[in-house]
Amino acid sequence: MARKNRNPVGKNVDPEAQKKKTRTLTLKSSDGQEFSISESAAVLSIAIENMVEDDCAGGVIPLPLVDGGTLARVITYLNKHAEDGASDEEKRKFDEEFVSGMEMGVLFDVVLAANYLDIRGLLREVRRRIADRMKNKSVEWVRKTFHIESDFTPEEEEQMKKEFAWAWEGVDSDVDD
Amino acid sequence: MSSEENPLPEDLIVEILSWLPPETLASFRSVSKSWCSTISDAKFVAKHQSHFGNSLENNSDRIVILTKRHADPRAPLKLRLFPDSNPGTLPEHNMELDLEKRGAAESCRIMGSCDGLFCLASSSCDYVGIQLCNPCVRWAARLPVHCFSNEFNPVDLYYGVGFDASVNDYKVLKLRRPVTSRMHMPGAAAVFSVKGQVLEKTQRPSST
Repeated sequence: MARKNRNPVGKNVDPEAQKKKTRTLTLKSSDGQEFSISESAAVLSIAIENMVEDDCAGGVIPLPLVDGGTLARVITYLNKHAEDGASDEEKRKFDEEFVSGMEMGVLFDVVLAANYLDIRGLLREVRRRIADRMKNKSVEWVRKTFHIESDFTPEEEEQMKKEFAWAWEGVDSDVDD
Repeated sequence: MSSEENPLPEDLIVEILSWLPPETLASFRSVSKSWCSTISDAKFVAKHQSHFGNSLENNSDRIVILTKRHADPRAPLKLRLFPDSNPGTLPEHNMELDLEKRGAAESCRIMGSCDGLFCLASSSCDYVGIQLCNPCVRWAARLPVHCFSNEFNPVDLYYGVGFDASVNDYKVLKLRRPVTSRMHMPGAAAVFSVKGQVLEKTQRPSST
């Protein structure tokens, strides 16, 4: 009985879900590019879902913190994950390939967009990928990649290097992969 | 969205760092002062333990820790790390602990652990300080020496270590058990925080 109550439409297709698939939204990037996307794919972003629910998505949704190139990538991700009949295995493979070719700068842009748009799966995937690329990297590589200037004195730095000499064993050469 | 300054906000950086192996993290402490304090932060240590420590590929790399007693009682205490999956393959990084008092190493034991943090202390010498260490990232802190009494007689001491989320710090509880044959020594308790203080001290007569 309880089960029946939870799902009153039974085996019929939920009309609301069906509507979301056919309804399209327009997302507008910071540089003014417009992208069409089905509502069912767009609402995988919690931020967009909230905007749609609050009904402040009158036609075009402006995303002033995401540039066109990044938004196109994010939409590719959303479309795949909203695809009917895409198995978990297929999605996992897609995620792997989706991030594998990206340069660090692109990963940063995508992780920021995923954070801003609250797309949990994408955020997790890109975060993990960035961490993977940081493994065994030198301190200098990190400073360059994250635009950090050392605020240690040369003496302090020498002292730390001595203290953690073991941690520098097996550091890769600074190649951007 | 790319900018020359700080490409990522701090919370994202912290999140990413928490998925890195301890060796990488230890070397990244010298990136900058703010990275150093992030990586040394107690909340981060706990987060790192739950992320990196539990991620799939590291599942089998639980760490076994041993204290090594040296023939010379004044020799520093050493810790060794072994993964339980295949101990033979791990380079054995020793960690030397410089205990303050002479002979302290002799009576120091691992008294408890929390999030990969180990508490080393003495069960019988009141005047031996408590050491906390995280052998994964070669971090150690000496808590202030605190004695329940000025006597140098052996006592019966117990310890516990835990994380207090409300103040974002690890705390150590030190207990002295009342000794029945020595009624003048009441039971007592003291709480230490890693940030370096004896927080509270209570003494009770042994009769209660």
